[in-house]
Amino acid sequence: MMRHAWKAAALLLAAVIALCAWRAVGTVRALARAPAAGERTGLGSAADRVLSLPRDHPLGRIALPGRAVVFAYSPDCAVCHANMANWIDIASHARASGMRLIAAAPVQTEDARRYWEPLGESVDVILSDTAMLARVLGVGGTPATLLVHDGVVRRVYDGALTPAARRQVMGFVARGVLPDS
Amino acid sequence: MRTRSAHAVLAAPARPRLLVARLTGEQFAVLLLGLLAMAAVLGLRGMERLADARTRHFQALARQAAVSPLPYGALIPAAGRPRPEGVHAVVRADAVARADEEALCVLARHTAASRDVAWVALSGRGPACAMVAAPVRPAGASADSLRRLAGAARWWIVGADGRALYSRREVPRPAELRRLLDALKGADEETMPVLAP
Repeated sequence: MMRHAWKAAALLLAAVIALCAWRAVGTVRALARAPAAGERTGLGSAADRVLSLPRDHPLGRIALPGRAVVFAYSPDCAVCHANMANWIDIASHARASGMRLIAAAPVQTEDARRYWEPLGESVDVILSDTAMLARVLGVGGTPATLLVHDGVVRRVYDGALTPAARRQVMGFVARGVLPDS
Repeated sequence: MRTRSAHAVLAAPARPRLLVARLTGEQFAVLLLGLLAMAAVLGLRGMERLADARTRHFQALARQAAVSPLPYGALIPAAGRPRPEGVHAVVRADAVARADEEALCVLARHTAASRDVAWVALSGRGPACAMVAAPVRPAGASADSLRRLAGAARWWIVGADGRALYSRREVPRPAELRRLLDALKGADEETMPVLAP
């Protein structure tokens, strides 16, 4: 009886070792895939939010036909300041492609209005409020970048744009290509 | 009687003092397997933690690359805005990685005649082609505070009010620098000269 117990214990331990080896293979793959995981960071989420707003509401300008990129920002948000270079990059490319650029702030202050002054007339600034931005665009915080096509929000990037996310937004701006989900 | 008991004592096998020596072959094999299993579990845990850390490292690098070294609107110290007024770009001529020296020299050649591009050298070391483009070599407290603020920034665009509008860590291509300057100056692209990359 005791001999069988030892054999069972040996089998159990061998199974544990085999399980560890099997999981180690997956872990080695995860180690190898780590750089790719970095590449996917910040790629945003696919969305199909139809914007339904009366045309006379300021945010209704986002829903006009055609393609638009929306920058959700706050004038007192540090990450927005750090991300501004990405938005300026996008704006400088959009000048050639004729893409509509809209900056939407959840506050109606003078600082918010002046935030985009260096880019002159190339960005349409809309001052709204937090609840409205969250309800209409589904934006929970700033900064966020939204790709809009014919009044439908197709992609949302929360936070500062990573290099991979920037490439996707540039592709949308330059060629109208929506990133694959 | 006494002789038999003495014989019995002599015949009894000596009990080994070490526990391992008292184990049967099967027990010893199970002990080894147990140790091996424990090592495998601990090794796997270590590998999983390493994989998580490596993934987080690359994600952090991506997040770091997402943000500009100088925050938008930060007041640039006087040493970092050599042009007294107007929107202009400032490029660091020093502290460049060897791999980027050529790109910096190309940029120096293309911007030599640009009135809205200034070069600064915050330290004495840099490729000669770029250092000659940097007549402005600020020193003192303003240069120190610029060095602290700029950190890893290779170049930045300063607004008319002396505040940072744009900054990057990488050496820009001349056309890229010109495109961004034009966008921030609100200039008409068709009338502004676009330099070849």
